[in-house]
Amino acid sequence: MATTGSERRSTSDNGLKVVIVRPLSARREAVALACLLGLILALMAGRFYSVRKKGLDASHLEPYQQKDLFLKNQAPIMYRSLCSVAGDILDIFQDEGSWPSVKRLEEEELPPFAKDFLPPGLKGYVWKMYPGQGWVDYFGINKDVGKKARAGFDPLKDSFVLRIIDLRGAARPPGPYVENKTDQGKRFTWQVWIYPAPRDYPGAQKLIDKGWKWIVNSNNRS
Amino acid sequence: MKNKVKVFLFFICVFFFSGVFSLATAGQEKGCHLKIGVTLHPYYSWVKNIVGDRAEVIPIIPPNTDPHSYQPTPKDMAVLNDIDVLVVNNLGHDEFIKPMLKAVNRKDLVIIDTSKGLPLIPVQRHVYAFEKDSANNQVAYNSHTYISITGSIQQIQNIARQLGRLCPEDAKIFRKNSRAYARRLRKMLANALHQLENVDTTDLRIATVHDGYAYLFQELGVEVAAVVQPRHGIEPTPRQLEDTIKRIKRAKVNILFTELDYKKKYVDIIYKETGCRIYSLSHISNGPYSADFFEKCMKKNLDTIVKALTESSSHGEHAKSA
Repeated sequence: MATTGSERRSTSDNGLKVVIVRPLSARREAVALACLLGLILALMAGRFYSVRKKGLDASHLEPYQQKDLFLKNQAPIMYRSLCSVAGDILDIFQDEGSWPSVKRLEEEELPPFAKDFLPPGLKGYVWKMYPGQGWVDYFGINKDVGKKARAGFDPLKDSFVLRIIDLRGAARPPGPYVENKTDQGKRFTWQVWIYPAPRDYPGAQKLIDKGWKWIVNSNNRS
Repeated sequence: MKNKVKVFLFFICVFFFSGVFSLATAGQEKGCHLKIGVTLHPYYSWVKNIVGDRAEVIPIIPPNTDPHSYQPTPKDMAVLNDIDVLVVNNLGHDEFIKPMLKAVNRKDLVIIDTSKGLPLIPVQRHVYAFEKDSANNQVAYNSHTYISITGSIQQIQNIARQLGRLCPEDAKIFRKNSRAYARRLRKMLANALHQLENVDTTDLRIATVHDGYAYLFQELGVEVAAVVQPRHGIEPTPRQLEDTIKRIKRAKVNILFTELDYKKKYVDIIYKETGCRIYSLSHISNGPYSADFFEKCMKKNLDTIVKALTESSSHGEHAKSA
């Protein structure tokens, strides 16, 4: 009689043959499948970890920094406006050799200093210039905060500082800045700082101490 | 005799120096006369306004061609071989240029990435997707950075600055031109904002057929409640149309902004099914190439938005609901 691997033969005391027939099972296949699934899961976990690690590295922030993607209400409009006007300020500085005053920027019709180019919730911002040795701060606070909000008018509470730094300036900048090592010819850099409420200008050196956040551009492709 | 020699030498000197002077002047007038290629329609208008006649602006894709369905031809490849500078979007709106650049393999071609360093909006509000082609750029961003005024101005400044570095003798002119152009663009925005100042948008629920207008609506301070059809440039299937209608109803939209090339039959079906007001905006990426194309399209877009919000808020929607 032919036997299979699942049969076991033995001889009992009374001479009778006892044949134990095990039920059919797919143990080997099940083990192989489990190993395969485990391998797939391990590979997926490895891939997820590597991607996540890269993402974290790219988005590493200092405690005094905040990503522009997470600005709320109308703050992105103000941020965009400040980023845009920084180029104009640099052009004027390069043409005239001095930082333009707030009045000059208003006359040049440059938002956010000129209010005609902003939605109603941002028209109440009042700007002041604080120049230093090789840098300048433009500080803005919304005087409309506290006025009753109505349809289409919801004043933004945040305070802003636009800081422009001349990297070839005489003195060290008053706070942290990123030195662009890939672009040695780059002379200027600018930063936008935010505080989530109306606050007076804290002084150039004290932005971090007073809880202000440096808005970091997520689109930092180099 | 000596006097004759002196006079002769004097004339020689005058002739020599006037020659040198005229050559220098001619050089100044000529500038470096760059050949600048552009991938999208707005970039043609921007660069043309920056450089005037101090450089040649050459579109890569032919006029009246949609970049979404564009296929390069040998003639276009020849253009790419002939230019000094190329202005690109690099956020996904001119993907066709990547294989073309790979094919021509020009190390000397200067690429100006208009979106570099620009504050961007993530695709569909915080829906992140890992991009496959770039390790540094893992978040998917809205690529329509040119359908805006503030964002466009920042890009125009970037282009002018980079062109100025390539052509220092014309840098001042480029800067001056870009500032004058930016001023004109800002006036359009100010005009639209002024008209929207007293418009009550409280009860308005606005949707767009795709998220290309996010930058524009953001700078107008107008909230978009829904994007009902994230893909664009394709004709919707009956299933997609049904889905769009369901989304409009679910989001309780009362103004829908479609695209100019969105077929009227679909507009009619959506209006019949949902009753929402429908207006069309330009995507500014198809048409003729001209210096004023961008300005014309943006003015039309701003006028359309103002008209839509004014009509719907003052008498339209309120009267209807009353």
